[in-house]
Amino acid sequence: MQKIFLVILTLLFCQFSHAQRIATVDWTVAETLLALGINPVGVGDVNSYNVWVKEPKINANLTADLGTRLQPNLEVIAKLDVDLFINSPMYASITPKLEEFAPVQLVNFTAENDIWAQVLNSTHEIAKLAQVENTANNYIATSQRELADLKEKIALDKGKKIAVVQFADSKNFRLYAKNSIVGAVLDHLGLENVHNQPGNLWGFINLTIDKLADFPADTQLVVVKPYPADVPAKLALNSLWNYLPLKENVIILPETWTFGGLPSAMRFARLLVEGLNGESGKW
Amino acid sequence: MVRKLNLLIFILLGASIALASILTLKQLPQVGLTELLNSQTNNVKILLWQNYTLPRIVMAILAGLGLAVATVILQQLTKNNLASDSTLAVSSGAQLAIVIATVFFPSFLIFGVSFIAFAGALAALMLVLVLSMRKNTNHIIVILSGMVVSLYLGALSAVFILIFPEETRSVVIWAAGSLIQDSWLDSRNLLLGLTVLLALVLLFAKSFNMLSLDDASAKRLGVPVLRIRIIGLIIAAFIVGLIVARVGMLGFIGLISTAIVRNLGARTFKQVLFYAAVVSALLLLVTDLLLQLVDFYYQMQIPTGAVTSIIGTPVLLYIMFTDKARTTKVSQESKGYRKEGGIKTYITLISLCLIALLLNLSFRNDFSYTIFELRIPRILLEIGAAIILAISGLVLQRISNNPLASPELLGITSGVNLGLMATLLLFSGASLTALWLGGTLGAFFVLAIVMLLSVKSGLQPEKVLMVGISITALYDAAQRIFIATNDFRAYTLLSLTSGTTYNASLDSALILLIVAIVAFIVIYLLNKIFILISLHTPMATELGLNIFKTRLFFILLVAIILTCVTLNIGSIMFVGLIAPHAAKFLGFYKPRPQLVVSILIAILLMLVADLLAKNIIYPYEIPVGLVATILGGIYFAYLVRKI
Repeated sequence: MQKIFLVILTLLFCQFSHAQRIATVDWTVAETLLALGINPVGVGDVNSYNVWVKEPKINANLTADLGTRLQPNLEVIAKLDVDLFINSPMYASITPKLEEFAPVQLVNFTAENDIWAQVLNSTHEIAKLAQVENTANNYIATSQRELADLKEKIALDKGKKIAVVQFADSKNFRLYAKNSIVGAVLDHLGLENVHNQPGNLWGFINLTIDKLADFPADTQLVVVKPYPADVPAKLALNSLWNYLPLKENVIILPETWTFGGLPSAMRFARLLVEGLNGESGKW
Repeated sequence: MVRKLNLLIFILLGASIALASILTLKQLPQVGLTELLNSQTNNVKILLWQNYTLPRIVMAILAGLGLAVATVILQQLTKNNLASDSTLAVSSGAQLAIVIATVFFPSFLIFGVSFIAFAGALAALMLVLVLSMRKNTNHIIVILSGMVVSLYLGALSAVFILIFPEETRSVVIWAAGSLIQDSWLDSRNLLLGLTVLLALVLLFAKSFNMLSLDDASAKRLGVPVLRIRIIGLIIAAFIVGLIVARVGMLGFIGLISTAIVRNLGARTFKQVLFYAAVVSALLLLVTDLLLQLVDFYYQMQIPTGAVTSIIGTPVLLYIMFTDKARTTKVSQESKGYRKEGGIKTYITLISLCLIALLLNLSFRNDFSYTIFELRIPRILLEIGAAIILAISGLVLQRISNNPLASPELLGITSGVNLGLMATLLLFSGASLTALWLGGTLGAFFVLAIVMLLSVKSGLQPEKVLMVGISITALYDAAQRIFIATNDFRAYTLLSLTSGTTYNASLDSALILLIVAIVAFIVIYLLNKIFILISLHTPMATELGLNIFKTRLFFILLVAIILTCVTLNIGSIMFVGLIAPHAAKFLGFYKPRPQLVVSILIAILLMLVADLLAKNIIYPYEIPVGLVATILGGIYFAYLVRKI
């Protein structure tokens, strides 16, 4: 009798403790898993994740660093006993290597057009793979409610366009387009993107600094960190920059992963609204 | 004769004025001349023209001028018409210094970019000159040293870019050579710097002129030869540093202008200096204006520096082929006799290899089957590659009688890389097989070009190497443009070509190992031919050696085995270069012993490199080829002083 009881207990225990061991090299997949309450057993380039993505935080005790994203350390992976890899097209070249350890599922967070639908779709896919579909539904619903709330809080003049940029150096920058999560967030917050067309596959276009003159004079410039250390100094000496009215109230946002999924989109939205309401950093 | 030059300058001047006017008209339709020069203007477009277009024009003129002057000085000091800021690694040195500063000391950049660049430029120049200035040298050897150092510094830059992609994002754009300006600041500072330096040049012009004589005569005429040389080098390095710090590497423009100017009749130092400076300034200006117009009409931003590199490569080739000065052949065994290497050395080497092998297999190993399964293919691949590289280096050095002949200068590696780049560009999600095919096609394409261009001279190895160097330079420029577009695929290309055994599979490793062993057996059996080929050509022919067929056979053999290595691992530099030298250094002169010992040394080097590459920044890996290159480079610098 006792033996049967023990066996049933063990079987039940097995069912409950069968959490999938998921690993990924892609930061977008990692952040989505973390937002859904799953701790991946391994993530690529954790050092840089902590600098560029920042949240959701990776728990170093539960998640191993897999090394370079394009060449994850296979010996570390071998020791991790992974059940499933979730990979993205950007790192498709390593799929054959990963397949030797566990099945690989591909999820895509980029799109030429409707990026928001793509992000939500992929979030659902990941949730399905991790067997946490309910959490996903809740998370998405909460996020959308939060976006609606943030939209109310914005104090920006109607008709003002927004330009979200990242400086590569003092003469070249990226402008985020309609098909990036930046563009999608601007859409949801009822803000108008100065470049309301799709950019390249990753959602941006490269511009040189003189193209800033083509923006409408009252454009709100939003600069996302990081930028090279000498950019503020060089810009201060730049005659075009000093001439542009839009340089007067530039908003600087902390590092945000502009190629991410829902968590990064929400982080960007929160930081943007904070910035628009006056709480922005300085150069 | 000088009339042709004046005509050229007239034409270039006309072209620049025409292009500048077209550009201005396109940028500022319907603007009067007085409005144009109004410094208090409120018109954005005029402001842009005053602060972007004009400074860019001035910068092009100054950069072209400066680089030409530096090149002419270098050519005068080394008495070598092939010397320039690009071929003596001066620009690469400046760039590496800036890359290192950007990653580790970013705050320095705000204040002292020029000094950092100057330090890098001077260091690189010194390195090249120390390596190549020996008693029996010829022009090609100096350039070979310069290109080898340039490649080495480029490899070091690549390591930093690979490991710190975000920090170096700004560097890669500038590294392709961009003249874009956003204010008068840079051009003003450059003008000040150049004025001072040019004044110095004119001051010392007479002394530089005297260096055309041989050292003894010059000394007799009262010229402090060594001091003048040093001053000249410092001035040249400073000019290059100033320019590279502001606009990145504008490859070969100095070389192109001096070549044109000499071809059109300039003879004396002062003539060459003046005309090269003017031609260079105008040529760079015309190129940049054309690219600006391309940007205006087609919205394509092509970095100027990379364009000059691509144009410069055929020019480099042309000069090398027509270079009239031919000094004596480098004698091989002239630096005294070392004791013949014996059994003890063999045993030491083999033991060291075994120790390295054991370390590689057991370090950080919990001795599970999987770990071995992962490590063994990679180790086998490295051993196979080491064998092939050692063989290639030895064969090339022996058939060309040139101690600086190395597999990477043959151009095959660059051919494979060009094929890979083309495949990545054409097929976004290229599979490994597609990449292999592309790489092989690239290798054959380059081999065909090499053959075509040198078949007339009977496949003279020097010519073969010259073509190889040019193709390597061409690939370097193309890669730089690719990386500057910030396309993710560029980083894929970097990681594919940087010498990694990551994609090793047991099958490919065994195949490579078999190829290596077969090559070894072939070369081992061809002992007699090697002994013959180190004799002078007429004697060898009389002894029954068909020089052309022999060279053809060896070059083809080396090309095939190198393609196999590059496809599997990517480029590994210096291993093929130093292994044969190290073997000789240890006392093994005869072909067969040298072969065996070179192979052992190469294997040892690769295994040690692998140990470091996998564990220094665990769990992140550095490509083993890069580590081998760096280790090899250090050993190279040490070895060359003993040759």
